[in-house]
Order: sequence, then C-alpha cells, then structure tokens
Amino acid sequence: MRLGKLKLAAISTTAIAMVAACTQQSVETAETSQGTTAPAMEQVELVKGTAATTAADGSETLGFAFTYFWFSVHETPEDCPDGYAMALRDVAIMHLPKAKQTHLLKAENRSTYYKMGYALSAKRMKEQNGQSICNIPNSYDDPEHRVVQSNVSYGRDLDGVTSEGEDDTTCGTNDFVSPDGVHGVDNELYRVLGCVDSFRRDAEFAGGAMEDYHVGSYRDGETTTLMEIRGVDDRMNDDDVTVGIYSSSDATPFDSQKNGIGFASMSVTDNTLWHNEVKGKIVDGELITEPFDLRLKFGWSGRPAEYKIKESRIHLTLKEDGTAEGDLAGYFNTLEAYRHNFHNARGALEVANGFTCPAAWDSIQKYSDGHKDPKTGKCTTISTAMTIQAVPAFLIQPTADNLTKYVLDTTEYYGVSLEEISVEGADVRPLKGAGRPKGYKSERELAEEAKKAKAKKESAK
Amino acid sequence: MMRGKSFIGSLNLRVCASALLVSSSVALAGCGGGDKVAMETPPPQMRLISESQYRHSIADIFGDDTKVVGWFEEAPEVGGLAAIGASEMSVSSSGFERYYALASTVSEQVVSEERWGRTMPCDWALEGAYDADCATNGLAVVAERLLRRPMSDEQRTRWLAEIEASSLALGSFSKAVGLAVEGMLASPEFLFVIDDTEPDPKGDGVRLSAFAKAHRMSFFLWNTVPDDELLAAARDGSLHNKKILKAQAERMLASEHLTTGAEAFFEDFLDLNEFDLLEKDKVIYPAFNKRASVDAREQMLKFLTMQLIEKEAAYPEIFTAKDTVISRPLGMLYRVPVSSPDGWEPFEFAEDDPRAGLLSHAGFTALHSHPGRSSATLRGIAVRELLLCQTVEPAPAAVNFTVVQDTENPEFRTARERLTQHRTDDACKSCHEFIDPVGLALENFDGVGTFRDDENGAPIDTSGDLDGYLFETLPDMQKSLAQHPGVGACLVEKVQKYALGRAPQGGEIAWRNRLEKNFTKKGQQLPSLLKAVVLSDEFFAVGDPQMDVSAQEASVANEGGKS
Repeated sequence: MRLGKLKLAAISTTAIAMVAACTQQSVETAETSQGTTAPAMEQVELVKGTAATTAADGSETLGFAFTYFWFSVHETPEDCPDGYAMALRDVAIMHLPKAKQTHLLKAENRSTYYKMGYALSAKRMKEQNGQSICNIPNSYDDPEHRVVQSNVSYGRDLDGVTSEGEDDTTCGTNDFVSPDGVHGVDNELYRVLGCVDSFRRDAEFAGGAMEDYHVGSYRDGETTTLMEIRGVDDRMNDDDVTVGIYSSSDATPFDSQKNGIGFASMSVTDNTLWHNEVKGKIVDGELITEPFDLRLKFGWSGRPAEYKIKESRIHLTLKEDGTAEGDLAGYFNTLEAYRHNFHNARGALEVANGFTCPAAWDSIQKYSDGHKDPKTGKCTTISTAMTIQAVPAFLIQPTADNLTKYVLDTTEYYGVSLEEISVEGADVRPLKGAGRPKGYKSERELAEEAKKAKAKKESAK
Repeated sequence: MMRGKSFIGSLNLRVCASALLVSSSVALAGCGGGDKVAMETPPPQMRLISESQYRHSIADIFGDDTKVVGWFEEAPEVGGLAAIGASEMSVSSSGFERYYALASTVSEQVVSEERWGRTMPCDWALEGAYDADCATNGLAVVAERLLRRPMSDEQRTRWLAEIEASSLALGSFSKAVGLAVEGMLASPEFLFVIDDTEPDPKGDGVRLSAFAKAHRMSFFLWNTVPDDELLAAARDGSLHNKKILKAQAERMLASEHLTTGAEAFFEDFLDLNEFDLLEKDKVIYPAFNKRASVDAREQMLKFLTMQLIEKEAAYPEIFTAKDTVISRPLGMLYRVPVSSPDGWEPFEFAEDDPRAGLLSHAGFTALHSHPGRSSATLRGIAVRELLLCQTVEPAPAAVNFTVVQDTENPEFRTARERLTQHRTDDACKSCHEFIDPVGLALENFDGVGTFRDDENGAPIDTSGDLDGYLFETLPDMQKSLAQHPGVGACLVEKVQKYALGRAPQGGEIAWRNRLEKNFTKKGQQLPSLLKAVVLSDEFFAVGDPQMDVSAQEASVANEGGKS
C-alpha cells in the first residue's frame, strides 16, 4: 500500500484538519522496505487528519498513541504437529492412565481437569515455601515446552544472516522464512510462543487470551506507549527525522468498539528510563528507524514487566488519515521476555494459559539467538517481531525540571536482588499493587517495618 | 410589612406542604392568572429558585462543603427564559417531596456534631435538653437568611415553641433544631423568592421591602443570597437610600461573585440546560463522551465570563474573539494539543484559523446538531432565536425529511445540497431561506464541533447572507453577526426579562429602549448593562397585589389550606 504524495501544508495546531482527505481503507498486508511482510491486521478506525504540530523551524512533529502492540503471529495448522505446549493442568494428569486422561479432557470434565492443575500449582508453591514457581523455574523438570515446528513466520532479518542451526553467534537456532518467501527471518520468540494455546487465536482453550490480556492492558490504561516523529519536512520522503518512543501514565482513549480514538493530548512519562530516541527516515511514506535499544513500561493485571528490546527497528506506514501501522523487530531481553509473557505470581496462568514456567524458561533460553555472552556462551536476547497500530495523538513532554529516572522495585516480585534491577543514576521506587493481594507485604517490607519499630522502641528507651 | 403572597410558616411537614401549595397557587393568580388589568406597575411575584440558586444559597449559608443531593423541579422555558418560567410555575406534590427530602439531608448535616458550632451558639449534645438562649440566638441568624426576611415576634415565638416541643418529644435539642432547619428549607419563603412589599413612604402605593430588594439584587447579580454587608443594609433599611443602593450595586458588580451570576444568566440565555439531554452517536463521534459534553458546556460559560466580565469586552466581540479556554477532552474535538492533564488552560485560535467566537465553540455546534450529524437548520434556528431574539415558526406537519436526513446520498453530499433539494418543497422554502444561511456557514463543524473542510469528499460552501449582510466564509459570517444590530438588542431584551422574571409590561418597554440606547452608547459592555438595570427604578418597581387573597389566607389559618 502506498500513499499518494502529500504536500506538507503549513500546518499549525489550528489548521490540522486541513490536511488530507479521509478515505476508508482496509488494512492489507503491507510490503516493507526489506521485502518481508508484516501481518495483515484488522481494519482500524480511521481518523481524519493528523496530530501534527509545527516546530519553530517549520518542520512538523507527528504524534501517535499505540493502540495495538503485540507479537506478529502467523498461524498455520502445521505449526504444532505434536500438539500445543503443556500447561500445568496437563502435567497434573500426565501420569494418569490414558483412559482417565481422555475422560478428563472431555469438555464436560474441564472443570475437574483445571482444578487438578490448580491443585498441582498450590502443591508446588507449598513445597517452595510460597514462592512463585516462575521465580525459581529450575525447581521442577517439566516436560519440554513444545515449540513451532514450521519454518514460516512474520519478522525481519535482523542480523543479515540466514541461520540454519549451526551458526554459533545465533546459538544454533534456525531462521524462519517469511510468508512471502524471504529467508533469514529472525523471530525465535514466536517459535517459543507459537504453540502456547493462549497465544494462538485458533486454540479451543483460551485461544486469543494472551493477546487480549496484552492489548487489553492498552485499552485499560495500564500500558500506554506514545511515539513522536520530529523534524518532518516531507511526510512521504524525509531522510532525517528524530523518533521518540515513550511510556505514559495517561490512558489511551478507546471507543466502545475497541478502536483507539485519535487526537488526545497525552503526557509523556517523567521517567527518562522509558524515554527512547532514535534517528530515522521516511521512505515513500514509511518511517524506518535506525536500530536502537528500547525500554518501555509494560504491565497487565499489575505485572511489572518491561519491554526491553535491543537493536529495535521500527517500520511504520504513515497513513493519510493520521493513523499509522507497521512493526517493531529486535532482540527481546530473554529474562524480560520470560517475565513479559510467562511470569505469574500464583501459578494461575500456568494452569489456564498453556505453559509451565519451568518448561517455558528452558525453552526461551534454548531458542535465544542474540547477544551471546562470551563468558557463559549463552545468547541473552531472543529475536521478535511485533505489530504496531497507532492513532494520532498530541504528546505533551515533561519540562526539564520534572524529569526523573527510576526503576520499580521488583526484587520481591521476581525474587531477585536489588543489584540485578538497579540502573546507574536511577532511584528505586516501590512497586504498588503489582499483582499482589491487598494488604500483602513482602518479606523485605516486613523486615524494614520491624527494623523501624525496633529503632523507635530503642529511641523511646 | 405586607407580603406579596400569603404564607404562614410551619415546622410541620404536612402543614408546610399544604401552605406551600396554597401560597403557590395564590402566587400564580397574583402574577397574571387573574383579570387582565392594564398595569403600569406589575404586582409582586413569587419565583421558584433554580437548582443553581438553591445550591449556591446552601453553600453560602451553611458552607460549601454541604452536600446537596437530589432532584429539582425544573422551570419551563417561557419566552426564551427559564427565569420567566420560574415566575409562572408552582411545585407539584412529587416535586415538593423531593424538596422536602433535600431539606432533610441538608438539615441533618447542619445539626451534625461537626457542623453544629457553625450555626448554633452552644455546645452540641445528642440528647441535650431545650436551650432557650441557644435556640433564640441561633434561630435569629438562620431564619433571617433562610426565610429571607426578619422574623416577627409572633413567628419567632411559634418556631421556638415548636423547637421546644420537639426537643421534649425527641429528647434531643439538636434534632429539634434540625427539624426547624428542615421546615425552613421546605418553606415557600426559601423555595420561592417572594416580593415582600411595604407602604411606600413617598406615596400611596407600596414598595419592595429592603430585604426583598437585597434578594432581588443578589439573585440577579450573584445568583445566590445576599452577603452579610448587603443584609446589613437591608436590616437597617439603608438600602432604600439610593446612594447606599448604588454603592452596594457597585460593590456587587466588582465582586468575584458576579461571575457566578453571569454564568447563571448565560445558562438561561443560551438554554444550556439542554446539555442535560444531549446525546451523540458513540460510533460516529467516539470522542464526544460525557466529560467532553460537560466541558463543552463549561467552556462556553468560561469563554463568555472571560470575555464579558473579566475583560469587559464589547458584547459583539464574543462572535469574533480568538481566545478561550480548553481542556483535554475538548482538545480531542478541536484536535489541538492541551498541556494540562486536568482542568483548563488558555487557548487561542491562530489568526489564520477560521475558528473564532462563540459559534466556533464545540458546545454551540454540538448542542445544535443531531445525534449523528450536523444540522444547519438547528444551528440557524439557534442563532435566530437565542442570539437575535427572532421567532422561527415551527415546521409544518407532514414534511418529508428524507433527503435532508440521508447524509450518504451520493447525489447530495453536503448539507447545502440536501437542504437545497428540501427547499424545492414550497411549504419549507420560506422558513429555510430565513434559517439556513447562518446554519450553513457553520457546516464547517461536524455534529460535535470538529472542524472540517468537506463533507463526503465535497467542499463545504459557507457563503450566504444574514439579514442583508453577505458573507462568503465562516469568519465573514461571524463578523456579520457581530455587526448585526439585533445581537445587542437581543442581549438587552434577555437581560431585562431575566431581571424581571417576566416579559416587560407598559412603561417597561420604554425602560428597555433606554437600556438598549445606553448599552450601545457605553460600548456594549455587559457589566454596564447590569449596573444600569440594577440602578433603574423599574428594577424594583412593584404594585399592589391584584387579587384579594383573604379567602386563601383564612383557609390556611383555619383549616390548614384544606378548603
């Protein structure tokens, strides 16, 4: 899909709607600059105009709010010939006689089948003194996580190499072929996710659930991602633009049909750790960024995960109506990808959503294909591709004196040390309401309280 | 002191209710239900206080943290103003039940332990015995403000007796005081602004009492009860002195409360209560949610008070002013960035932006549109009726609206094309020729006020004429409206009616002409107009009641209003 040539109007904040006629267009498979393809997406609500403001030098700034940011999934019947990945509910019944298993897998017995999974989850947590099994995935040796066996996937060739299992720098992984036949596609995270029933749309149980959870976090206002393209002199072709990608605590507005609503003013977070800036260019209406390391806030149902994607590159088609769509490809930090997609504090996801943390952890490490650590010999990142849809938005940047830098204290949540989460120059802020019961206090918080109480008592003496 | 309308105050709900109904009906009779006598000086009136007046009064008397939760009787719009409707309506039985429930919730808060000291000069006790001094002193202050007049000795004795009796019956002085407050809040004296009169020492007729004058001024300029200073001037009668009255008027006009009063007028003037019923198709206009609707209404009020009260701009400037205020929900409709995450911030349309003035505000264009599309006709009617005080005849019966409503007809892509086709029906032609040109100039705004250059891909033609003023573009039309002599005349007409609570009669027409001439001469500034109204003798003029109400008074006195 290509846009017609758009003359850059002398656009001010007051003449925005003078740009471009609105035509309803279906979203089709978009051909990208590298010849690979991004997935066909659902039709988006088109909004006339663009959220553009004019800088002092006359260039435009285009703003966007992401309304969809989720893995690019290409499902085929051949993906999982051995079946979907095993959930904890499957582990719970796998040693039962076949007849009993068959009985439990009947739809009318699903409740019992799930309850057995929950019972196993509770048993494991009890065995581990209440710790989340996802924090200690090596504690159990679950059956191997089933992964995608087909070789077709969306994504991009991130390293310029077509790996066929013998490439040391990609830790022995195999590249995919894009649906339109381009080789060398790096998307190993899809390999790990692609046979998890809840990550697929076609699964009978929980199909589409994780997509709903993740994209739902945008609709619920739990996660907001904003983007700004600055220094735009020509929306069709501009060889030098600056792209900012930010988190925000403002909720992206959606309508009752789950379509994003354009032209909201949204404040960029004051946390510079979630500010990302990169140079880019616009070629035939498509924004292409240079590779950059992305770090953004993410969370759903209180999970304090983050997007940490190295060598990210964005391809985004800037549509005539002000919306944009495209993809982001890069190397997801393996640990963060695990937290992002699998981690759950009480084991419910492991039962209902088609994986177990021990098996998923092993698998995501096994298929990690980027940034090999020379000391351990293990790859520390895993290639991925994500689909982006965005509506026009006005980004309100924080003033310089309001900028800050902090990480959230996830030590208790993930069972890691403060050192592991620390970032130079960043404060550590307490985690609030991150998936823990009301009134729950971590051991560290209880220890601190006890320490303060003791000090107060001694001071009184 | 004489009452314009009869009322006997009571603590008892049943007595109070019946008295209210009786006195209300008397009021209607007195205000025009009787013989059509040619009157130079109109009779006294009773005006039902509006919801906003009720809320402001409670806040000013008992503190702005007092919660007022409930439904109100809404005055019908008469002659283009609810202020006139308030003079012509009674309170229904169910309406009184709601007012009584409101009175209960307010009085419970007033006599709560935390708030007791604000009103009563003694310690609170749940089960305290009757305290005569406390009741006497506390009641004197509260009653004067709630009943809007000093109590006679007889009334005071009755109220105190009721409180004492209630204290004994309930075993609680505080609860008894609560009942008294409840009774006052449910009384006609509180729910209606009643013109009390007294013999005019300068002649044979009557004049408004000083308290009635104070309340007339206060509700007109501030939309609430008088403050202590104005009450003091009423209490000692000095408000009858023209110099004192002028000084008070000037003080009130300089007060920040004038904004509150002006907003109440603008609400009525532009019929903004219609926002309560405003619905938009959520699929077509997803950005127009409840917050946007509330803010659109508030933005119009803030814009008008900013221009006309704070800046004291000439009235026509409201049609061309570029500066206004904006909030984030509205930023989505105007498609402009808004920095403040909450609340309002100044905003100015650029010079080259066709948008300016009241008619470019989303509130105006959204209010006068259909749920799923704009309406040149509704907008044209709004300009004609609200801003030019002209009358538009209702549509004839059995009109075929099919063409107008079909916004997807490829043959008629714009509203102009659809209305042109509609006007081929002779039954529709004359009215639409009168209404549509102004509305079509506002077709640059869709059904929620978002700017557009085209409709269904066809460019929007905004040209037309307004009573001889030719225009090509939206800004041209806005300037034409600003230059139209009818807009200033209409404002004066509405202000006068709003002040009187009725249409002008007899010599009041001449008064309006004088106000209009003075308004034009002095730069068409609203504060000057308000001052001229308040300092006019006509504003306080009142004649004798036109009906003999002794039978009704006797009924109330002897039978509780049952006959």
